[in-house]
Amino acid sequence: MSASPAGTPPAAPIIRVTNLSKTFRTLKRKPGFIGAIRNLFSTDYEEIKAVDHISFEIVPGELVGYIGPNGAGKSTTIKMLTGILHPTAGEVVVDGLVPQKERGRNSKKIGVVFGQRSQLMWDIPPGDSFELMRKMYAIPKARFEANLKQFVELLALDEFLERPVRQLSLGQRMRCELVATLLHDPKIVYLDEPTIGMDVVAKERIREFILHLSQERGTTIILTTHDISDIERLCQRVIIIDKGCLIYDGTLAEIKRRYGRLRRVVFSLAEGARPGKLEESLEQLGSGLQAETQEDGNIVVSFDPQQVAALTLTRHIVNSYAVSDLAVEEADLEAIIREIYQQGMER
Amino acid sequence: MTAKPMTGIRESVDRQIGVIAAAVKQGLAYRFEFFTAILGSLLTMTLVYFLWTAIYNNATSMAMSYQALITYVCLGQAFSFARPGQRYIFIRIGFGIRSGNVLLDLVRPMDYQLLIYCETFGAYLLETLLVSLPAYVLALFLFRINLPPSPEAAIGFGISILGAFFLVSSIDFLIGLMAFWTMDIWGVIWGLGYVKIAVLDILAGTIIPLTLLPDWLQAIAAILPFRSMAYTPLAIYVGEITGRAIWMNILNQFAWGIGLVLLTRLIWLKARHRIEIQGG
Amino acid sequence: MLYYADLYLTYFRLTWKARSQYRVSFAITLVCSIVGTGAQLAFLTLIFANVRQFEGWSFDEMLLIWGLMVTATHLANSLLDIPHRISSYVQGGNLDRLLVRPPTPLFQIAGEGGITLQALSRVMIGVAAILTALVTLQDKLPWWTVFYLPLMVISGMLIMFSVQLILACLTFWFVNTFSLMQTIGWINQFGQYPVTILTLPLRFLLTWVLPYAMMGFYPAAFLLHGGEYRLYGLLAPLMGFFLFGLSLLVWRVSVRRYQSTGS
Repeated sequence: MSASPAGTPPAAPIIRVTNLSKTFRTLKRKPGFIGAIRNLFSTDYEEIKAVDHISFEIVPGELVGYIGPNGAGKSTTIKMLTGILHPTAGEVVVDGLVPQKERGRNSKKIGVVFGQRSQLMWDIPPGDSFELMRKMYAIPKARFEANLKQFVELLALDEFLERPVRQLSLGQRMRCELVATLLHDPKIVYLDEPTIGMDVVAKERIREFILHLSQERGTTIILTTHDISDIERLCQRVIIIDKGCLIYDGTLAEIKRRYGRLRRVVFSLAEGARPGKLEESLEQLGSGLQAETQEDGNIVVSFDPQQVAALTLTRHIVNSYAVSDLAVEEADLEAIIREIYQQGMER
Repeated sequence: MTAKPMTGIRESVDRQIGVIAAAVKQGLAYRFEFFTAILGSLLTMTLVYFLWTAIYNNATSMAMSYQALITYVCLGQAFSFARPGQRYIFIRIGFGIRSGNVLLDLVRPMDYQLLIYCETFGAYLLETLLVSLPAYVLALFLFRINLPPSPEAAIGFGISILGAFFLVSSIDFLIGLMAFWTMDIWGVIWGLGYVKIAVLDILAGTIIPLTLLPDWLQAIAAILPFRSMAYTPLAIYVGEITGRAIWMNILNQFAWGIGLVLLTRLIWLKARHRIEIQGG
Repeated sequence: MLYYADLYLTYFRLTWKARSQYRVSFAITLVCSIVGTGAQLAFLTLIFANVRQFEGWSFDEMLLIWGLMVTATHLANSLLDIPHRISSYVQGGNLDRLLVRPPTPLFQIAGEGGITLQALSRVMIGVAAILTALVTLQDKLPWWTVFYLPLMVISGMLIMFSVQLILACLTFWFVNTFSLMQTIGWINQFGQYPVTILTLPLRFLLTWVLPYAMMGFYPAAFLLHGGEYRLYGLLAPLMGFFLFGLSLLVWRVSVRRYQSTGS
């Protein structure tokens, strides 16, 4: 890890975001046929606050997960950090530059991988696109070749380096995208859904590479993803954003400590049995118990072991209902995050 | 036993109407596009009017009267025969294949070809009602183009326009089908689209009435199906084709139309086998 | 400067490599471009099947105008093939991809478009038309034609590019600009006719708003009939460069607005 050794002052942040806000205006659309005609002449706009007074700092070398439910404002924030969008209010400083004012210079220091969109030329081998990058970022030939050699080796690219990009699988393509982004030694890399749609083997490969990037090269990495295992594997620190507001900024360990205390009892009932009065009977046991019936018929009860002992709860369930199968589980990170998304957090 | 095929047809017609309605709504979704389409149409028609007026004034002799000429070209412009705005099918099919969305279309209960035709018809309906008719009205009052010489001509025109639409859509669909065979979709389709327009321009009478072509060219144009795509309806309206010839020409139109639909059907069935998806 | 030149060459090399894979479609589109331009020429010829002189202009004179128009128009479409493609960049979110890279986005769009051979083939037809007309008209033309013509071709190219770029930027404000681009592309052909056929408002349109007449008609008129067209003839080359600057400004403003409102 690249945390500073004890006794030294904390490193200066490489990214500083202060009270960042972004508001959009969209046309209100009316439904239906008549509405379609009225839309032609309307001037009804509504304002949407995509990002609402967000502040955070990132020091060099950090690997940060920037997550939130869909529509939370993640990509909007990233766009402001990379210089694509101009903030409505607030301040962004990236390695001493304001991206809004110095787009070109900022671009030279960053790399961006868009998970859904390719930056490689489609019909020719990736090597040609790399060559384009060399010219575009004015990378000295020696450095370029050293980097290329290392990446090709690390990601096992030589099998398909000569094939046109359109013939590559998703995993192969993403590896090439990463290389294309890194050839110019960017200080900061923004990864938007880099493992989306991949099989487990491909995902692991990408993750290992990202770790290598962070640990061996000290690149600052900001990762946006919906894949919880990505976060678990890679991120020391997690920033959670929802409805434009920052709702959590801290380490993964902290989240688990605060919310991971929740455990679950998952059970299913025998054929024909019904979980009558489950809520009421649970209330008698203690507070903080939540029951939920899943689609597959299983019933999940979340509980806080400090309020109600696992054994007490289990015994109660088995005694009250005709249980056919039962398991006690740790709350997984995915459940925790889901809960945070659904309910916001107690601040 | 007769109940089933009836409801089947009812369902099918319902679906078709649904698709057409959706296409119309889609066309209304973009207001800027909508207004510029109308204004563009009026503008292009006006320019055409002046061009042909000048040609007529400079001509030593012309095979058409001034009124007939003006009516012909303005109408042609108003009803988008000469406007290259009918790229709809190309975009629809090409895009569908590129993105892989075509699979969604194929899974639907509606036949793909029928689906595309219905959508195109919806777009065409919208364009006719909201773009072509205003242009027509403008031409009537501002440029004093003729009204149809007889109710027979008017009806003939109406039917013939539908026939023309049908023919052009079939050709567009045929070109669009090329996308199923080639990797370079855009290049081929756009290219063929240009050829189609270029050919149509001359041999269909979209930008120059067939009557004004040199005799040898007219002879060629007479046997090709292209004349039915623009010349036939326009000539009926203008009165160049009268009486029984009207219905003969319409019959000819529909004969070619059916032939083309059968051809596209054949090729479509082959294309369906040949699904090569790009993207993803 | 050297950076951009080198980068453009790289783009050109790579887009060429990418395109040359599709030989069949390449051949088809090439044939199509030629047929397309041929049809235009056919129309001109057909007009003259019915007339002897068009508003006082002979066939060869009209051919010169047409050649100028076609050359300039398709030079713009081949070397600076940007305006048509802007819409897909903006609406497809591809502009973002360009904004995170160092070179200026407009340059990247030009680079990624490459030089289309189809448009170049049309340019050649246009040049052929000009040369053919020059042969017949050489007695009527002043000595400085040899300087003025190439200048007008370049200026015409800039006019075409600029007009299209300025209007293409409307895609930043309105999502669907299809009909607009279609219409102004269509109107282009009226630069080949004497503006005298049009009433004053339309003449104004084609001279000052969509200055297509400045691409073909006015330069040719200036060459062949001097005098009365002197003002326009001298203005025409300036217009190209002026509009070019204006279009770049409009582009910058549009991109800035995109960055403020997120399209």
